[in-house]
Amino acid sequence: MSQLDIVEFASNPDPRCPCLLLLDTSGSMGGERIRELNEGLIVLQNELQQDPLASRRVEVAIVTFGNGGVQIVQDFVTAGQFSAPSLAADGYTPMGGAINTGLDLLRSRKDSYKSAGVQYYRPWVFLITDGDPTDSWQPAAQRVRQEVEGNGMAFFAVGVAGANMQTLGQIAHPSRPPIALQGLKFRELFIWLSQSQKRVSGSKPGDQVSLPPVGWGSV
Amino acid sequence: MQDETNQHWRVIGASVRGTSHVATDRACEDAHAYLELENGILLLAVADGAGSASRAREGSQEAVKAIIATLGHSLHSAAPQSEAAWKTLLETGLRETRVALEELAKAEETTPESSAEGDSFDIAAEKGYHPRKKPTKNLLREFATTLLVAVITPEWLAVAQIGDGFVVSQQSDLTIHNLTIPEYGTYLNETFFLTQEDYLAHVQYAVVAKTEEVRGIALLTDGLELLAMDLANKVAHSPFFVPILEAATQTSFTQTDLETFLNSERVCSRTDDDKTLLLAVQHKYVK
Repeated sequence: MSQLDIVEFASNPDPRCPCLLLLDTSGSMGGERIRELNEGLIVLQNELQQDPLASRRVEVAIVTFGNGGVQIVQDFVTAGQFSAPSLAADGYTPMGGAINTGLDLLRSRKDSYKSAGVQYYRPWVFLITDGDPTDSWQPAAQRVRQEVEGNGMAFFAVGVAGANMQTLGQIAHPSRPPIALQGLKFRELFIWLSQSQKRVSGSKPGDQVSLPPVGWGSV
Repeated sequence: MQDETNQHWRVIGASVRGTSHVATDRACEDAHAYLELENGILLLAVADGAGSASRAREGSQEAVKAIIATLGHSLHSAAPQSEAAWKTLLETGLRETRVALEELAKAEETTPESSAEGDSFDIAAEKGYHPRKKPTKNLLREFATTLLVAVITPEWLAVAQIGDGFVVSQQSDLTIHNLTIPEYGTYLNETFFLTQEDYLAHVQYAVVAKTEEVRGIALLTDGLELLAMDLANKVAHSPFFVPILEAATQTSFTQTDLETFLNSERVCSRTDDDKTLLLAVQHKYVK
């Protein structure tokens, strides 16, 4: 029996690692594309749930644009509770609206972390599209840049074949140019994302997180 | 070794490797040091080398050694008698410690460069999106470390801290008081280091003219924060500190016991990081 057996520990919640997905569900994503995207989301769910630390720490949210306009399909939920949705493709590409909705969601999530005293890692935002925004995207792009420059998030833009990479380049911050998805490698993309998030969620102050090589796209 | 009975303080400290460092065969990158001067002034320091820095172990070890040496030298003759003078002294100590790290980095520059790191995503360095510097061009960064230092004299308690971890004091009524709190960037895996350009802008000072007796003091690194701090309210978790500081008053309690505790399953199931705990209690309470 040690004198220190009576030492009590503080009960603090696990730190969180928010990950926001902005997904294009416009008409052009129909058929094989949306099927592969849905498969990819299932892979993301499975990969994160296999890792005990990541399932407690990574939080996923999904905002779609296209089918039904801009929709919050999934508000932030820990990966352990995340169930991959089945998305359907239809309609236009209100990308600007989705970015704004997503960033609002992220802001309110950060506020709840702060008020609950939950520590968190820098959020990751993933925009995936095969098109061209059909709404006003410039104000949203400016917001993305401001957030990135203020260190408010890491923003990744991924273009599926047919995406207007030039516009995506104006939305993404120059420090992290848009990535063109090779074919329909959604599965590889989401495996990469889950592996990266696992690494981030286990990282320590000052850690330099080495990301796995990107095998699914090119800058 | 000085005769313990002539000293005012009993000090027990331990820095142990986190389970993640054991798994990846990395050394303990935490360090601690202390010194009691003949005039009864006690100096305590702990440091946590950055996980991203290749020479973190040397950085933290040099930092605690240098700050104790430089402040010990100044305090040997006379101690400051105002809050402002204490801050100046602590700042000078931090500056000189930083110079000691610069010297280490400079000595290193004559040796061959280390290999490139490949695809990496540097969360801390991305702040503000300055183009990332190649590590070989900024060797000082490879020694990145936090630093916490506390000085206790009969009249004053003075603390300086860069980065995370925190310092608490215990009064004679056993209550625990935060002298500092962990300082992060916005995010959990970003903190501040003695090696960064603007390190002086990230120093927390706590200088207290002692009106109440200080019974004990504890310094710890961030590996213990989840256990020892109520993070929602940013205050030390007293049920953590009271029994530990009580144990430190017992001569049967040794550094080995503290290490055993820090390596115990109970602690390791909550944190996989390196952890350091440095405790000092007044000798008159030692049983």
